[in-house]
Amino acid sequence: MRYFKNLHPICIFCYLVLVILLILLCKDPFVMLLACFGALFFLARTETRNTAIGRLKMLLPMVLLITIANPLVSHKGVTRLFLMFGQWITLEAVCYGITSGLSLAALILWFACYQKLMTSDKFLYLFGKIAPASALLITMTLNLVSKLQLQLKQIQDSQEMLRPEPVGNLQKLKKAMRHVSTLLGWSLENTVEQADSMKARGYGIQRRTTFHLFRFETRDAMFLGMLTLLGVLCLAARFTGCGVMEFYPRMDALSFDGKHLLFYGVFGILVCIPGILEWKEELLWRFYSLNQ
Amino acid sequence: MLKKFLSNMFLILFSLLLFTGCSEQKEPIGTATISIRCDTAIANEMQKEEKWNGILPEDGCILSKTEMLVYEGDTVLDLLIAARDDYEIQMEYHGAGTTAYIEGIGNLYEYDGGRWSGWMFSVNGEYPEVGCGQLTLKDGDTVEWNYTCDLGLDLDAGMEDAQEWKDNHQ
Repeated sequence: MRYFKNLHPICIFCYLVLVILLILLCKDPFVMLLACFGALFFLARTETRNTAIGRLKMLLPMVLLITIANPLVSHKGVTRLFLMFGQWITLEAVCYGITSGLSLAALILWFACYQKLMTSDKFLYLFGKIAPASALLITMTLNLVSKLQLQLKQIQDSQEMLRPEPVGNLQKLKKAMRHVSTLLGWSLENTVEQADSMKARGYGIQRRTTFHLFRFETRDAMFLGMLTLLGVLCLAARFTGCGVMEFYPRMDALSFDGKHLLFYGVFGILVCIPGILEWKEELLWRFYSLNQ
Repeated sequence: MLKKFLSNMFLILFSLLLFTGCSEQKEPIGTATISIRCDTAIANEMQKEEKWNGILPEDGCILSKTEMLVYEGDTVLDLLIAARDDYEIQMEYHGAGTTAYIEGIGNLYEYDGGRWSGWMFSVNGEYPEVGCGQLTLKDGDTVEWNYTCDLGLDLDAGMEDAQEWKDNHQ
């Protein structure tokens, strides 16, 4: 039983849009850390350990790279650290780099959650009526990446059976090239087949219909109500000065007065909702039989 | 194949290092006066905003009139870089030669004082039509760096088409 996934698509979509919007609007290291934590909390409930580690292996160097690159490009700021290539490296630029790196990481993580939560049937259900052509196109495009990954894995597996393990860099490169060209040929063939199949099923004759089992229940209404409350609180705090730090020319001090603490708290609850709901279901599932 | 490529790259890198080491010691040809001011920002009372408090000087003077040595072939940009290093002024620029552009001095950047703000320089009281990386200095020159909030109009920079440019780019 996966609780958050089973909410009505409109709830999930509104939730994701709100969180991603808040991440885009805010410029504050704490907000970004909270957002990263919330996404990781949810992903840790739904993914295997290896995928999670793979994600971190990609994201941590990225944050580090942005942290290093920003002060090399931007030299604003009053707190000078040291001279490099004839220009000053400033603390403000380093901190800004950390914040923007974390915000990029948070965005990537939340889009990973989006991919997990908003499956293509939900997306088509929401937008199939309003914009049928673009909704179909977007689903097909998003589907393409995971489909290609799957196909590449299949190609690799079958090629490993057929050919011996290559020795040396050149051989490895040749092997990779062979895989990519196979993938290219396969996807071209797929395109033709897909077009034929769509034609055979009468695509374009009538308006496209979708089959779905989504019902708007009381829990969805409750969730939407709670989401509105938290969202209004967060946005109100954001537009009265929370969650945005000025970095140049001088960094704002991190303030932890009542308003800021409330904002961090509400935002923290907001981003942890999916993880908490999943966790609750997991615990219920585990301890259900014991309580009988 | 790879080895040959790598050794070629190494040779190129080595020769580059060799050539950069060959610049000869220059003799000063005289002195020039440099000053850096942001009076227009002060006139707009920017220093009273919390963001700029303690960063913009109250009297608008980032560097008062200072005599500095000028070397053969030094441009206005070179003089500013020397002033930055000698007096530890924050300064950021990009480009070199004809493309050199000063983004900010003393943490006051272009656009900080509005859409038409930025740094301009005059040599001996006149605002030249060339970039600061192009103009070579001679003995006794006076260089003034001034911040403008109005595309040079508040400095009497003498650019005739500034007003026209502003009107056309509303």
